[in-house]
Amino acid sequence: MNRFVGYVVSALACVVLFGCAHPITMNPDLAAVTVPAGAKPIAKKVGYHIPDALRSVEVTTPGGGGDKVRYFPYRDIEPGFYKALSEAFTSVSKVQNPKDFAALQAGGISLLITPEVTTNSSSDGAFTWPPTQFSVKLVCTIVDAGGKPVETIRVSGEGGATFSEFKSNFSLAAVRASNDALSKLVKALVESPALRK
Amino acid sequence: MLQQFRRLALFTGIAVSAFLVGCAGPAPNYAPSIDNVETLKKIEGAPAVKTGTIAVTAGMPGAAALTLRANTMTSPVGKNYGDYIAAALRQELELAKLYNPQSGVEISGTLLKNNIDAGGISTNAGQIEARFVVKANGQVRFDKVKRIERKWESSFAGAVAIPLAANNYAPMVQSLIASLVTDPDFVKAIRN
Repeated sequence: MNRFVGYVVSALACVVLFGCAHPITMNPDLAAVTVPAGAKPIAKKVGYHIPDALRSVEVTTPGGGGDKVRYFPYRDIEPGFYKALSEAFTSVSKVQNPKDFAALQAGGISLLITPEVTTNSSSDGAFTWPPTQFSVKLVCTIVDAGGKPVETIRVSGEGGATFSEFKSNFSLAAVRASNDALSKLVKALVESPALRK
Repeated sequence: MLQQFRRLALFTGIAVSAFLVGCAGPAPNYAPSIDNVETLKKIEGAPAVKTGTIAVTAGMPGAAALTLRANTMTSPVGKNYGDYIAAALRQELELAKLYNPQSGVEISGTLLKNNIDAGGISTNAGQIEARFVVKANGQVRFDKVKRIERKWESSFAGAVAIPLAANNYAPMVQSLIASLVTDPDFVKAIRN
């Protein structure tokens, strides 16, 4: 009986102290995603495509103290991505079928954008699990309404948060990294000569 | 006997800590639903509208803070969750380019229920109920109560269950707004 209680206590201690994958979000602050001062949006209607399968992908990356964090990169960043495209172009739509070029042309969409999101995290904290550093890499493949490659935009965002900052928002480093990546995306889009042709 | 009692007390203490552990703070930023935004954009002939106040029912539990086990989660915007829902609705209208603070058409309402049950060890759930009113130049065009419930898989460990509950609040609000913007009477009310 005593041995059994000891095993249970040890197992619970492990659950509490080690190996947890804590849920966080990367939801960006939309107010931080704006077109740079003086830059003009590109006068085009664009579509973007994120497969439903990617929206439901949950990834796990390192946190602090041997723990990990888990989140949904595509699902979380999509509203910010939509806002970024809304800032860079005059109109944006979600596209369900990127191969249906006839529907794209009928809908007035002149560019189709497919994002790829890669993330990572780390922490210098030994006793706290939220990440103190977070990175978001966005690669946007852009084709015209006929499927012909037009441009590939690559940006990286970094976010950091100290204990005093993240104690009231465990996702803070991730939010800041999303904000940084999306702000850089807007800038890269409006500054691309290929997209204005 | 005393040793056994001590071990039991230790076991109970660790179990309670595992169940309750986590920290309190504001709810995560609202993430607008792109499906809601696209639905709003497809309302033909809709003028830009503005959002008014989403009031909270006096004395309602969960108006200013939601209890997640031993922790509390407050609204990151305004004074209460009525302000959170109003801001969420405004964000979706802004993304759909249908927001104009000078518009004569206003969407307002009252939060009637705001709850998250985070105590379950395998599943948890949350419910929101709100009355939405659309007025055009002071005249009521739409007045309905919308209610949603969301369930999710959870965990015994508070360090997992509490952030999970917190992260499910924004999707709950997305569902509430979806129930509004897909209502044909709402569409008709803002179109007129």
